[in-house]
Amino acid sequence: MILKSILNIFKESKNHFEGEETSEEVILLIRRHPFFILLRLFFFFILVLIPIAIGLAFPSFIYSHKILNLFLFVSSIWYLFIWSAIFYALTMYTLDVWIVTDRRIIDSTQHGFFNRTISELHITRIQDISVQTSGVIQTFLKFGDLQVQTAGTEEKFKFFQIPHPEKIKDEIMRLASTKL
Amino acid sequence: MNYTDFISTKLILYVAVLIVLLGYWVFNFIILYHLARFGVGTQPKKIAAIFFLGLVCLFFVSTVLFAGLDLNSLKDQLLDLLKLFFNTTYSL
Repeated sequence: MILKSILNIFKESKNHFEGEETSEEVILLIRRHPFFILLRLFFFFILVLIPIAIGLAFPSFIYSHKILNLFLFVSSIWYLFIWSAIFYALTMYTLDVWIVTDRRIIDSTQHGFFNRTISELHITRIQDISVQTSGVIQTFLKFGDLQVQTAGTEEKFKFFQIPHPEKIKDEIMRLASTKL
Repeated sequence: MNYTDFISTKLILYVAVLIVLLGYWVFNFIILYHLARFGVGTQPKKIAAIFFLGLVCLFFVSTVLFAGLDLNSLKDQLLDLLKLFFNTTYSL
């Protein structure tokens, strides 16, 4: 029973977030395009290969100096730190999120551990939305920036490097028009 | 009784390892805490689960490899390597 309820967290956890109002519905949960996290993961992949490359390049040195156990231990420590670094990057990527609900847009930016900025904008205050896709990579991978203009001289609300910005713009415009 | 009798190189090594381990686990706990506490949707929970499982496995492997180290010959091995790489004689 307990195991089942724990496993349900991974399947049925709704898109609840801190500060959610009663009967507020999450329409869109947007993160940056996976390209950015894959780029970082590629860098970590190169770091993963270093002990393997050393082991393959200098096997006779390792055996002749009888440091195989030491080499394996140091490699395991290296992998432990890389594992943590990978998931630190994944944590920052996952927590950097834009939430579009049926009432508002919430921008939650994670700057590091215990350092977050949360800003929100009510759907009814949206005046104009613009999408910018610039460069070859953005065009081919279909991601870009989205700017939401509010009334007056207030700062624009920006979504950076999000996938399919046109579709998201249409969805926000649809929500805004139903609220008017 | 002189204090150097019980403050041996091995003891210093063990204390240093313990401090590093403590810092490392605190760092990992903070990652798990952030994913579980602030994550929206199922994705952060899945990432937290994979992270924790991998961490336990890797830590187990590291512990087994640490147990396989001969700490008495470790000092000589390190001195040999330092001598080899930097062509200098060190004494610990």
